[in-house]
Amino acid sequence: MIVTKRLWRVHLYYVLLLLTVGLPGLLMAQQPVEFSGRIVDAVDKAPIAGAGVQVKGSPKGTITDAEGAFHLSAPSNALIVISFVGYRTVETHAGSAAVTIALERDTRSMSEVVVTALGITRPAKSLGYAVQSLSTKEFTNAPDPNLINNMSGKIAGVTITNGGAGVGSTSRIVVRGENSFSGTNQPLFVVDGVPINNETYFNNAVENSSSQGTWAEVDWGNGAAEINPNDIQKITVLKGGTAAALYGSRAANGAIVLTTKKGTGGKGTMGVSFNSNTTLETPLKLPRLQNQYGAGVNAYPLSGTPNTYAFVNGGGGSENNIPNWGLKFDPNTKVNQFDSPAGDGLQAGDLTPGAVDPNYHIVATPWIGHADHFKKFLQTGVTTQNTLAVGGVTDNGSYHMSVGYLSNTGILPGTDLHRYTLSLRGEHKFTNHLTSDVFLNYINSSSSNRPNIGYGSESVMYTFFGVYGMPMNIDINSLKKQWQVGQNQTHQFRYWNNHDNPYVTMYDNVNKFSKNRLLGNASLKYEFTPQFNVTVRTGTDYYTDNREGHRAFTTVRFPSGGFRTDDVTYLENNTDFLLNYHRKTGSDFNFSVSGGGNRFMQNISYTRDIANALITPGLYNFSNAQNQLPTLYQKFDKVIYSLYAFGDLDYKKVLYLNVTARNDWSSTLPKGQNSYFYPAASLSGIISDMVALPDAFSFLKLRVSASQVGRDADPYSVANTYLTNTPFNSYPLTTANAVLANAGLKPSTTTTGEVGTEMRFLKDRFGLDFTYYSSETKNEIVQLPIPVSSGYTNAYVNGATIDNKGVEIMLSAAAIRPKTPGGLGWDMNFNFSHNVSTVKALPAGINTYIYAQVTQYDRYYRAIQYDAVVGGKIGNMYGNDFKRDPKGEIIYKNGIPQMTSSQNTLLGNYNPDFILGWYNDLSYRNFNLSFTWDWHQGGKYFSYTSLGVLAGGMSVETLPGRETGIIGKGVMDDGAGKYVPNTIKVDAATYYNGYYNASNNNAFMYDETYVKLREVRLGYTFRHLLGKGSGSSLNVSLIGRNLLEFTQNKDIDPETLALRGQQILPGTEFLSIPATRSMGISVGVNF
Amino acid sequence: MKNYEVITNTVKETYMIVSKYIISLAAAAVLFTSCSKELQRVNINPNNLETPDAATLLSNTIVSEFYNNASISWTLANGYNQYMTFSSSYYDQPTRYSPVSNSPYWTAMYEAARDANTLYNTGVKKSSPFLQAAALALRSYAFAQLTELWGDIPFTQALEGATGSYTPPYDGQQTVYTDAGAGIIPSLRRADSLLKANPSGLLGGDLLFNANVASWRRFINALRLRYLLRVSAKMDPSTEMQAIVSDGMLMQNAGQSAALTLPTTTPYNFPSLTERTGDFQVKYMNSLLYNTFVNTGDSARIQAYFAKNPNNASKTDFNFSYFGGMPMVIDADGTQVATSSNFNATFVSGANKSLIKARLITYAEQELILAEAAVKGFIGGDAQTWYNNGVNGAFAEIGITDATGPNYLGHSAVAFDNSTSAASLQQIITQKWLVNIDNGFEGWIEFRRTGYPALVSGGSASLNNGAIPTRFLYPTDEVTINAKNYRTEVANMGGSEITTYKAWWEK
Repeated sequence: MIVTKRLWRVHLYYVLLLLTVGLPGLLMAQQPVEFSGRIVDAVDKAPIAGAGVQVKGSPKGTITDAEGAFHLSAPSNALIVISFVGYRTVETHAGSAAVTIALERDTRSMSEVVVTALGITRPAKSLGYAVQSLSTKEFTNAPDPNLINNMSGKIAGVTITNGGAGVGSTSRIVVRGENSFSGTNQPLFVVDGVPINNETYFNNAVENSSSQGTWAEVDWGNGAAEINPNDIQKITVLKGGTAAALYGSRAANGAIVLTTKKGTGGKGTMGVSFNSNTTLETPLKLPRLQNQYGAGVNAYPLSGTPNTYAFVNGGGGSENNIPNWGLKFDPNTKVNQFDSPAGDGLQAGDLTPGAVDPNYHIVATPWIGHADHFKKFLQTGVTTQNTLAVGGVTDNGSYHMSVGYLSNTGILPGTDLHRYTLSLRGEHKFTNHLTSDVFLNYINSSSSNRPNIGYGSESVMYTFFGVYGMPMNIDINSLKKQWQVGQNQTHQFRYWNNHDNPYVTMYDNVNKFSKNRLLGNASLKYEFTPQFNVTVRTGTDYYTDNREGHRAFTTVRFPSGGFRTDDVTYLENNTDFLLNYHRKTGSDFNFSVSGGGNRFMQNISYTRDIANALITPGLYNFSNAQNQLPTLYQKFDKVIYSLYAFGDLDYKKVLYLNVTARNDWSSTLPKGQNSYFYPAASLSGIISDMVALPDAFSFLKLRVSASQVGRDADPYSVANTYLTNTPFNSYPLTTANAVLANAGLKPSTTTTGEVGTEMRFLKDRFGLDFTYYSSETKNEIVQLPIPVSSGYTNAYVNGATIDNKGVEIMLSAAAIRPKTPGGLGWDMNFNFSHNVSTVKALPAGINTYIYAQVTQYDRYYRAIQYDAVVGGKIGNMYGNDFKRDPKGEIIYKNGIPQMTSSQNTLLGNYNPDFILGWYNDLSYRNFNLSFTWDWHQGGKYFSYTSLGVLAGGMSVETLPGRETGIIGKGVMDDGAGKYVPNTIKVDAATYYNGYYNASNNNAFMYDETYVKLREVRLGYTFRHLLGKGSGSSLNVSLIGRNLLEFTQNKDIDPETLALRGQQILPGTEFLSIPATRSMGISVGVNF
Repeated sequence: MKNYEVITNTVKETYMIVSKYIISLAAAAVLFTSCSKELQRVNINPNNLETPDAATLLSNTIVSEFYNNASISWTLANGYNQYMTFSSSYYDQPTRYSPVSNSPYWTAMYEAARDANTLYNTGVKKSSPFLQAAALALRSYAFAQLTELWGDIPFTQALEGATGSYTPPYDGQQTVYTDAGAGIIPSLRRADSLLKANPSGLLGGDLLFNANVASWRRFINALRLRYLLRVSAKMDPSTEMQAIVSDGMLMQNAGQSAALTLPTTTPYNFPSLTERTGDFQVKYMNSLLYNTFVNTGDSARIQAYFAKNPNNASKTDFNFSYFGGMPMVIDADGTQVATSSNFNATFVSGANKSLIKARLITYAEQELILAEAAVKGFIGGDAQTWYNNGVNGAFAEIGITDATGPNYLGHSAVAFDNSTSAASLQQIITQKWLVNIDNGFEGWIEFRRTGYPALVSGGSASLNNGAIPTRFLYPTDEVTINAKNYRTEVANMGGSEITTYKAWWEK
């Protein structure tokens, strides 16, 4: 090609230019030598595969193969640079003798290359902002099925909260605090430079009612959870606006950049690796239940008639029989119970009301406790994750392929998760100028039952621990029968009509899904010259998620069963181009400039069909519907066009300046206001290369940056609309959308400034990275709740200002450096973060903005409110409290604690004061031990499980005073307006019902502080399996997650999220599935 | 290679690259224009209408008001009116008058008023008197509910959110009833005259009266009578009431009541049909209602509404002792549960269609209003006739045979007592209380106006310092996000919000 030839001439010209300006004669023609050798780890002498061996100042180079070996033809005595991620770079001169070069580990290497926005790699040392990376090893130590959870405790400034629905649930990740009320505050997830989806799309469910036909919410899991960690080479967290500015609006909350694995090794070689983890999950903790008193309203009143329990024929008892204020267990006490024999092989629960044959007589059975009912209900969870990967380097590129399979059986019977992943990454060099890079990932996830969580009889956790949870006298083994005799699939066998049999809930009332996802990207890069290239890239994330809900006959909310399907189709495409020009001038200044553009397109569609009554039990099909609701079909489309440019300038590799600019045009904003520009700049200086520092300092860098990121609105928020309601008989209905649109919406902006420093001491033995940042989000678009007396409940407005300030400190230390090869080594790092989010302003005229609520159905008088108040912190929760005297003592009246009637008491804030993660990596000979501690200090949360076990008399804490009565600790009005100590004794049921009143939010607030032993891995590596010198190895490890926890609440794990109103909310434990401890074995083979 | 040649070539190459760049920039510009169009197109909401549609908006407003009335009746108002007792403290706190805001109903009524208001404006735009009149009726009913449950409310400047006015100030209750522009009484008067002047309206979407103008006028006039009587202590209603009676456009029988037959399936069914068994089972007949049935020998209605108590569930004959009322309790004990009546099973099965209708105002109530108006001399005519019509109409309303009413009227406690106007009034209001089972808060509102029947308070019956409240608390939204106007209103109450504040007509 002529053009090519000409371009080569251009290239030559630069070479000449370099020569004439008198650079060190790196490329001076000399006799080439065949330089070969082996690169090993300085500590354990293990070969390092994939290390770069480069002739300095020349594109010439190679990488080491699986055995760490390399072979390179280089000018004699040329300076060779040997580098590998995680190790300190070494320079040596090329010679003809084979060498073995040992690389020193570098826990936070400054030679490290970091993937920044748009997939561009840059030396870490040049960055003017904080980024933090994790290598495969660091996030697959004891892999959790949710990719996000594997980052817990390892990244400063990142808050990760595990979901409450067991394996497969949504985890929440927040980078540097919340800067938005609406939306999820989730960072953007990016694979190889192209964004992917991390949202959780919920069903259009009804949570505000206990009545029939209301399907509860299900957590279907977040998008990024599905990525197989074994396919990922590196996770880089771009924390601040400057780092993420080039990714645009969606990166306003930071970006999590995933780099997939490439084939490595020598040309023509093939590496195969197989990883298998199997873990067993058991509950981390369970509520401590009393085993002394059974169901009953009040068996020991101080006066009046005892109100005790008896099962009513088939009726399942009345509501007021169920709390555990009943008689003390005593085998000699005989009571009619649901599993008491009723003759003819029937039990009391088999007798259907209204059809009771007078010949059947229930024989009362001993009144004994079964406080282990929940424990017995649970099973040991089993999770296996297997990945087989093949990778290699060909003459013209490289490939990496993997097949993964994850299988989980949950601790709740009947729950599971299956995930197949198939991934392929290939690079191909068509010519010396044209290369392509392709990544494809197919993921199939499915479950035969995702459990309902939260409040209401749909949730099995509610059955056990909701208000009026399963009484202590219920024998779980009796419930395994599921159906009344001869009434299979038509009549549940149960102890109470307001609860479903938990086995029916788990085995029949299932929420299935099957999700097929294809994500990938492909790029073509054309190098006009070594300095000038263009990349065109496109990436797509496409999935269909088909969900199916079954409800059996006699389900509390579905007396005639139910069936529904929900289908979500998601398509996102990002197509971009990028022109790069970089120039080494030969002078002290080097620079590069780039420019590009992107088109982002997102199409979401949602289809729902519901039948709330079926004809034939057990047949789940719309043709079996008694009546079917009209199909709901919704679409949400969005497009953003962007143009951007950026430039880097460095001076003598000690001072770096980076400037970026981006302009977006978003479809979600009104015409004329849909264009927004945002700039960013950063500066960093390597002080240790500028001035002489004391010997103790081996490295000192200062950095400063500032940026602005714009953000658009939700689709369709600029024009008022009329919604369609379910038709009434055959009459179609419309009503005004209670959310007012706003044709004058402007983009919001987040402005961030950060300063930081990186220091290393004592020959890099210790490292410190400190960042202070401050960000302000202005003109935040909120769905402002407005008084409905205006006719509307919400209005889209600009106007909130949120301020985030915080510090991040990363400390790394080679606590013990091996004295001899294979000796004991201990590397550790600490990740500390502290963030405060403050509401600086709210839209004009508004003092309080309730941005979320957690309620029991629509019992607004029992709501936890998340209020934003000007000057207040984000995460403040409000609700009812005890009435208190001026000294803070609880005020009693007639022996019962009194409660405030307004819900305005500040109960606490769910955000931690600080988070400290401590990651450790020890090695000794072929042993390796790594473990991570995770400490969240401060914050408060509300626990619905605690509410349930305390208000229902299930908790061991409700035992004192059962038969004698209780004088509550506090004060009472002496009748003359003076507070004197409370002296009025009331019976236990009255006291506990009063103290643990379900409306009294503050009785169930707990300190969120916890310290967790997040993960542990202890392993042994067998090397050279296939003979000496071979790169094959076998690693066998014991792995564990969430092994230990220290926290205030002895009954539940504070790390949990509520699912309410299609939102994942922190600060409330909403009848979550117990968190698990997992332990198991991991086997990895490489050859 | 000569140096200058290299340089020349380089310049050429650079030029080529740059010109390519420019071409692509120009191409980008062209592309951009089409992009800009795409941005507008993509944000057109494919899921919803952008302009109101009168017929479907009218249907929705009707459904919303009727359904919400039935729903609140079943879950809260039947307790407030003391027809029903919850047996469990977990559920019964609001019905034992614990100060609550009842905010979902507030929201439903303001949203109905908003749609009705949009309908009215659409009616003006379309010059449709029928649409205007229906809209005025529905808007007036919603505002009447709001002011009768909460007292002073945002009114004259309410429903203006779409113009950017998010925080309307409060108006006194008198304004809500009498404001010449949007007040309940003037609006209803205007609605009736609009229809009187245009007797042949036609409009789709009227699932209540099938676009029958006469039916709408009867409904509107019945409401006019109700609200005129309500404020009669403060405002002489005689002229307007007499005019309405003289005009004769009133309901003639129970078949003309403003009632909507609800479907048996979700989401608009009568709530008992799809209630959890446990929720149904904690609802019992209140002792006051039981005693009233017994004292008036009302064997028909007690059986229509309620089931025999568990102790007598298998009895096949009738005896008042087979039924039972439950006093308002914290938690019922075993004896109370065994001797009290749940609602009749037809509330679950839906077998008796007339019990699961939603009603805003009935023929029977209209006749009892007229009876009271006659007793008080607001209108001329025989109070007893209207009283008897009301009593008979009440049975007809729930599908009880024609003979029952006259028999019932023969009972000494039921036969019209015109010895004193107080005695008449007590009978009239007690019968109205019986008529309005499952019709919102009418029983409680009329108790506040007249003191009949004597609702039980004190002890476990009231969590409101022993008193029966005169209003609900304003919703938290008002307290927090309409704070300034809320505080101004609360200052009228004496500085803190109370549930015993009397707004206007009950002062």
